Amino acid sequence: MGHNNNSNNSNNNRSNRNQTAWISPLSSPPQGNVYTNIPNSTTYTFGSNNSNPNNSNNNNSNNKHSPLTSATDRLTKMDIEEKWDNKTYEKDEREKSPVFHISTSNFNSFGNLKVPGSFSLFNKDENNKPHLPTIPQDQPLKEQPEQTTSNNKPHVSLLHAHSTYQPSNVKEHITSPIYEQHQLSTKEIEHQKKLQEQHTSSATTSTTTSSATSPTKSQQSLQQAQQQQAQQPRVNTFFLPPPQNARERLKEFKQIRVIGTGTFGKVYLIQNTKDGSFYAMKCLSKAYVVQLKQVEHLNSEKSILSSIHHPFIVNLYQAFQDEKKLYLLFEYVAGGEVFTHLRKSMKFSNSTAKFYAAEIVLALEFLHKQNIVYRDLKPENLLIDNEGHIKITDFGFAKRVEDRTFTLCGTPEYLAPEIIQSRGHGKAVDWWALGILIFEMLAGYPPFYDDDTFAIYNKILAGRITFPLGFDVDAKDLIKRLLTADRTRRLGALRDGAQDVKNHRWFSDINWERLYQRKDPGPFIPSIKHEGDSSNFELYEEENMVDDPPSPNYVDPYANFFKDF
Amino acid sequence: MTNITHHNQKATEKVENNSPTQNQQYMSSNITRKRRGAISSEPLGDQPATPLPLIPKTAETQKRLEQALSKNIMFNHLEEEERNTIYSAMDEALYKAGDIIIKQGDEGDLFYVVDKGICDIYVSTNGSTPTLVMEVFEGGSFGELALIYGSPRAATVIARTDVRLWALNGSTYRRILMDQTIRKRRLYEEFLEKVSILRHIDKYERVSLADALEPCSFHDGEVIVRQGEPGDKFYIIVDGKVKVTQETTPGDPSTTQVVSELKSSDYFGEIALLTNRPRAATVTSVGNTKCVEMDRQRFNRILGPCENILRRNIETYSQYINKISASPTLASQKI
Repeated sequence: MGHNNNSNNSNNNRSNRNQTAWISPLSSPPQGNVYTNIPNSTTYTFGSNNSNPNNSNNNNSNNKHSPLTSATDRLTKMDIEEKWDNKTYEKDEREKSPVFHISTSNFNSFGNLKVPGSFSLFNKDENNKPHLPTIPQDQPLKEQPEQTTSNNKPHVSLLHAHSTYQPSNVKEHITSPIYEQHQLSTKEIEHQKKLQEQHTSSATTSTTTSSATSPTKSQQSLQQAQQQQAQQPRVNTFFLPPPQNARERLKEFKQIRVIGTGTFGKVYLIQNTKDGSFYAMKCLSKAYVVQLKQVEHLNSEKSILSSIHHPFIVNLYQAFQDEKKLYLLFEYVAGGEVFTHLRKSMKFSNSTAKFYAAEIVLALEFLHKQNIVYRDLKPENLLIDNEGHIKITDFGFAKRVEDRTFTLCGTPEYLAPEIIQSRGHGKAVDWWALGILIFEMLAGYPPFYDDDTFAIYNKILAGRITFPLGFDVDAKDLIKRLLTADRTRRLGALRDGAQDVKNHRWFSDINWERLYQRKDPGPFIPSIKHEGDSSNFELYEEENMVDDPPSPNYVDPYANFFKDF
Repeated sequence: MTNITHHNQKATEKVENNSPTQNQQYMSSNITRKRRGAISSEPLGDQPATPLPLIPKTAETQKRLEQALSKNIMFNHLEEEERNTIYSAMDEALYKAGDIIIKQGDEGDLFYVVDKGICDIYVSTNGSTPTLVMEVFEGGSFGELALIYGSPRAATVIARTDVRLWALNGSTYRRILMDQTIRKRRLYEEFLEKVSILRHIDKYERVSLADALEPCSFHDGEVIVRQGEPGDKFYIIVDGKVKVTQETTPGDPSTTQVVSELKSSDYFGEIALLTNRPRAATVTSVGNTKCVEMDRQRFNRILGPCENILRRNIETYSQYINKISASPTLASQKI
């Protein structure tokens, strides 16, 4: 796409903003609430012959274009439309007060609008990620033992099954069976994938729904096709461009308390003063980042998180900076760290550990498909949301890597042998770390541990693992295959990648489709008494999130490092 | 951060203790209840290409360093060439008796090998007075953690006598390893590009394959593959020469003929990637040779069966399938 090469970040991000989540099917927002700020956006669909590109361009409905040409047609149209939309958006923004149109807390995890102001336990805004609604009866899902809904009655969203939210204002069309199954040819799917991948880096979306009457048939089937293929790379449609004024933006939030010390900064629980929704804000001091030589890592974290989207990865909403600090605005996951719960309960049961491990497998599969290696898997970086699902956080070490990278990073107990030996490492390190994680969840302590850090490395390289009694036999086998120093034997690092791990007999009772769609709640629902409840997080030393502005003639010495932040 | 022998002891201690006790020990330790922080070395990407330090060592010093580091886990996985480069990069450091070489809590980027003299290691826990925990004699070393990443020193090291140390900078070590790994991989990739049976693999597959090649060496006269024996391995010559001979009447040594001589970047035994049918000729090393090898099972794990790769191009496929099914006694046959 021509204008993708335009390195004007804000331009691309703005076009992103204009497209509301592709699952939002409403033609017009419900009355009398903040949704009125949502600007009009257009529907973009690809890879199909019969879609309505947008409201004003209704001429091609019956044209049997090849998917390729109709898609490119739409690309050019999008080019034009977006520029037009950008102008209106800019005008809007100047006129209105700086309230961002997507108050993301108004969507629950599945992108369905929730009733604002409700404090139902399941209408948490922690899980604000859109999710593909699927029409179960059309989907060729795997055999599911318990089908809670009968086949005639479509249920709205898979996760809603566990929500108290009654989706009365969700239009019928989303559940209506009038959309016949439209099987996309592999070529169309491929093209769709390719287009999405093009957009991934610049965070523009390729599939969006609009506030037009309904998602078009092809779009639905596209989503289904996407579902059928395990986890297509999905762009982060909720990522907002940086605010005009960082300080003004920060003033919109009230600092509640410190809920974490990330690797190189602090994480705060904050509340949006306008609509009461909660978020997590990660703040890092620029000076500190430069001093610790983490500039590249931080830019990588922001660039990766702003472009990906996954049910088991924490969502980044915005990234900006002021004179002295960097800010990353995340969804708030109220259930706390797996680390805390693991230490409290000493160890997890086989089924609990299996559930969490399986969700992580899906997330790793997703990341690796996009050549992203995560490199910091450990219980401290896993959060539990209100429905008991995993959210991977802290992408400070994640990196897009074609095959090898050399910077050593990670956490000592979780380092793979090849990292210690400075031989260059790749995606395989994440699978090693998964082995360590599964062991630690089941045993309560990591397999290679010592008070002396260097002794840990000795043990890792020696590779002797002692399993406690009563360890599940299949889990033991999986761990051994993951904790293999030889990368040509390590499960997950072979030709079939994550599929080998998914096929392991420890995971034989996991239904991966169901898991991905979050159909079943997690084995442990954390106690969350109200939306902003932070009792699952440990207490830390308090600190002000926002400092006083420096003197007017202060020049940011690090501005150059964070140009693209 | 202690003497290497201390580490080895700990590592080889048999941990027989299973379930509750070990868990309890772990849980009761204060350190383990705390969230574990991450570590990171500086990204090596944008380093300016400053030349590596080059301080040539006498043969004797070289031998002493070899001996000192032979069991060190940070060095024993290195190839000879890498080790030599590292030794050349080590700088001499002299200290008088009583000098503080390393102080606990300081930033540390140097790894030391003791050449002459004795050092004492003191550790202070929680601000208490430092206690002597270990002594380091000639051939011992300390500061290994600096090789992995720069971190605050875990102990104080004081010279008991006048000492002569060899110091290695952690970032230099990492750079040497990275340079060597990249260089070797590029070399292997080039070699692999020439292998006709693997003509149709893409770049990513070639890189994965290059990574998985195992170095092996042979001395003069050693037989690498023997005619008539089943074969699993495929070889590429990195350095040196080999001689390919064949008994035109198998089993009759008097009919041995020299078929060819192969040198660096040549390969042989690639049919083993497809099948383990008996080798068609004997390959013997001429002088010392260094090769890299790959066996069929490993290949299959990384790239899937070789046959599928061949199928990507029907010409290549038929060429090789015919080769396999044809009689293996023709002199022109590939091994």
